[in-house]
Amino acid sequence: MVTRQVEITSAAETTEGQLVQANRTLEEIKDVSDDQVQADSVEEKVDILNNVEEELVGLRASQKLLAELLLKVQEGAVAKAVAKAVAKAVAEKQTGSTTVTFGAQNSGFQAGVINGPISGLTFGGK
Amino acid sequence: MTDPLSVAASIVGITVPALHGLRLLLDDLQKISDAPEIVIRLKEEVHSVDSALTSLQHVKNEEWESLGKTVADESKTTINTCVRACEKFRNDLQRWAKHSDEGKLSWQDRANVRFFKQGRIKTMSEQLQNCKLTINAVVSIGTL
Repeated sequence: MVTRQVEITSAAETTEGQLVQANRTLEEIKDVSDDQVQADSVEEKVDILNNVEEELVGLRASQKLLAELLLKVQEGAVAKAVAKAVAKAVAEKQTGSTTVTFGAQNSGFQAGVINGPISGLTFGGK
Repeated sequence: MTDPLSVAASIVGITVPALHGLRLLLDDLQKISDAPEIVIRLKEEVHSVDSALTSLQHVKNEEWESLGKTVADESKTTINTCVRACEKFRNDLQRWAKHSDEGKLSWQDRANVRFFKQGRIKTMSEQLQNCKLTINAVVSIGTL
């Protein structure tokens, strides 16, 4: 699950980098005046502008999609952790296997899993 | 509620022509006998997107349902953008090829691959890379 999160995060970072680069390219091409390019290249310049704009559409869709996927993976990770904790608690309750270790120097009251109220305890003096 | 069957069917419905478009582009690129490095890398990207889309076709109905509508919609946008990019790039290749002997793009004008042409190929390569990354992420999470 963590590997998948890293995978998606890495893809999102690459997409973000491409978005920055595409925006920069767009600005660079816009900055080239038509006077600077040869007559037959003006059409190419317009084409490139359209292509970069199209690329930006795809990149934004990817960005949205990857964010959604990351959310799904994170939700899945949380659900898995909760399910694991619940399963552990249920198993412990069923087997009565809770272990409470009381050291030689401890004193007082120590409990493992408590499923109801505690009352009627009486402590004598040491 | 979204019909999961229609989502899977609609994804396959756009994946099939997308794969066709990619293969046509690959055919055109393979015709360039002395292609420069930038074109060779582009061919590799086309192959990668082809594999990613083929994997996407195997995402099952229930998996699309758990991925949700946003993921399905944005997957379609990503594929459609990729298809349009491939079509436009093929047109550009054919236009460039007109300047070569016998209508074949031999890349004899390697020195003439100027700013715009290089930028065009780079943009195409990035679009394919983005498509591959995104689709692979969908497949990876969808088939968890």
